[in-house]
Amino acid sequence: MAKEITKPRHRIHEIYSQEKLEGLWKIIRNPTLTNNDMRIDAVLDHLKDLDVTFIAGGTNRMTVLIEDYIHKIALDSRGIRDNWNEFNTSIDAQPYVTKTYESNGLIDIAEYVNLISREEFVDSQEHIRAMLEYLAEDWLFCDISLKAKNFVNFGHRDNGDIVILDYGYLYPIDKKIMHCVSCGGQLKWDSQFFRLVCTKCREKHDPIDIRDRMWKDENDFEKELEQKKAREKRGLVVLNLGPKWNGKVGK
Amino acid sequence: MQEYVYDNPQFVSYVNDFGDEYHEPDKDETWIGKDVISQLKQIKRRYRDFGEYCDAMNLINRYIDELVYRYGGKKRFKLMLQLEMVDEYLPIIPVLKRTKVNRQYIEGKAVREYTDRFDCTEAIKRIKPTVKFDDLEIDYSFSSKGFGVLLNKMRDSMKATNLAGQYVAAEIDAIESFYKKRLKMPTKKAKKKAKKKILERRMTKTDYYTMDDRIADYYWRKDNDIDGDYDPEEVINYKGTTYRRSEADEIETAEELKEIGIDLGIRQLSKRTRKVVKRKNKKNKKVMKKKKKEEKLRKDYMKKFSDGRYETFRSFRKEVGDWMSRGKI
Repeated sequence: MAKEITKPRHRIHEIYSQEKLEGLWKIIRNPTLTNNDMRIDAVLDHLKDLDVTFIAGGTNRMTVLIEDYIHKIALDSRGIRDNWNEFNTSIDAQPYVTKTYESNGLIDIAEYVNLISREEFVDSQEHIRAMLEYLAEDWLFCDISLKAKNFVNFGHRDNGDIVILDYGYLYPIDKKIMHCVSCGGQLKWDSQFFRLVCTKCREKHDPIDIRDRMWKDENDFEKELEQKKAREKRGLVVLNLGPKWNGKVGK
Repeated sequence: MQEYVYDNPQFVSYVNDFGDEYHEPDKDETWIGKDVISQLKQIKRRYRDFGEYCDAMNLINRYIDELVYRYGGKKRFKLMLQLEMVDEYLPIIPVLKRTKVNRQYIEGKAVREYTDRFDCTEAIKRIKPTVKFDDLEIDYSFSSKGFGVLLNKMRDSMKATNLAGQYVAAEIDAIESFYKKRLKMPTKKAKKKAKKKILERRMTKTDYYTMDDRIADYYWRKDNDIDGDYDPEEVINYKGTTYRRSEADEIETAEELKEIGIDLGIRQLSKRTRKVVKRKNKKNKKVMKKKKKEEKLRKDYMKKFSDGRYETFRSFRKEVGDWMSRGKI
């Protein structure tokens, strides 16, 4: 049963002083740190007086262990965006994702779960497939698939529940946008949940492109689609260079 | 808990509540020291390096040693774990990643040495709290059901008063010693075994059989009554009803516990005694019913006989006696 909290704890405020956070902010904006490894080393050096255990480094964030909880520290602006996204989606996507308890964008505090091995991932394919099918009804996700290389994005709780560890690219779906750019057909996930495939013309779409389309103003998108249809009627061939471009070749 | 206040509003954090212990205050760490708990909280769930894994397991096993001592033994500690009454911090037990190098350690049983050394590490791995007392192999003298009832009652009252889980262990000790003294009377087989043991002690002693040893044997025999006449199957009369001696002992113990405020009801008794008690109660019920019927008949008769003037024959006789003394009859 859920316990009623009388006063919530802000563990970020308990652990990190203002100086520490300002230091992390400087590291993110430091142009001399040109790659992730350099930034990770800088962060670890900056936090060396706290009890920190380094866990892993990713594209935009790094994870450390402090007092039984995972701290996801952003390394760039995308990392900050991912942190906020995880914090905002954590409650609604339970129990399929790790719990993100606290966030200020720069740092997320999440639950610490067990990592899944490649063998365990392969053995749990059906279970994970069912989970992704359920999530796909309301969410758009990237880098969360049944491909073996994605096993690093999964873990399991002590009670055996499989959870997604990295869900910075998990977005609530806008079903109006889930249409093929070329023919307007409906998009569906492939068998591995890696790409979206048009049910009509079989064209493959990267979920990132769908996400970008979702972020554009909805009116703009509908307008574009109308213009495209009008051009096709006049016999113009549309060169599809991606959702942001509508070049034309021909008459 | 001290919290930093930030001038920059961008650093202020927001929280989610999942109904778990994230927002609860830290557990009491004064008994072991904050440093130890801090180190335990830095233990990862998986280690790639065998050396680091060993360090983590050594730290955990040392901590568990302390916990077990605090709870009064391995058996107690495991029981408290099952009942979710361990208030202290429970560490995560890490695993060693199965790499080419580590395979030799895993298959060569070096890893098992750590986990087997103290089987409480397995117990800590978040076992589900479905308590089966027989599985725990607890050597308690009274029935496992009765023990279960007792523990549930204690747990509820302990939780309600926020007493620490370790006090439950002390309470169980007290009850157990009470039962051991009252119920663990030796059977004929146990008496024979005990006598043999004493003889062996005498026979194997090559040295002089000291006074201390003789006196110790004397008190041992006295306390265990191996020469006495105690026979658990002996039929005796207890409060007007016949029981076997062992059954009467259990009933007497239950009544004594009830007097000091521990009322566990009929469930604490062994199956055999429970059957006997139920049978006796049923029989008593029949007897009581018969008596009641007779009493009713007697009353009805008096009413009819005396046209409702007298409830009992005694009252009628008394009045007649009065009249006779006054010379009215």
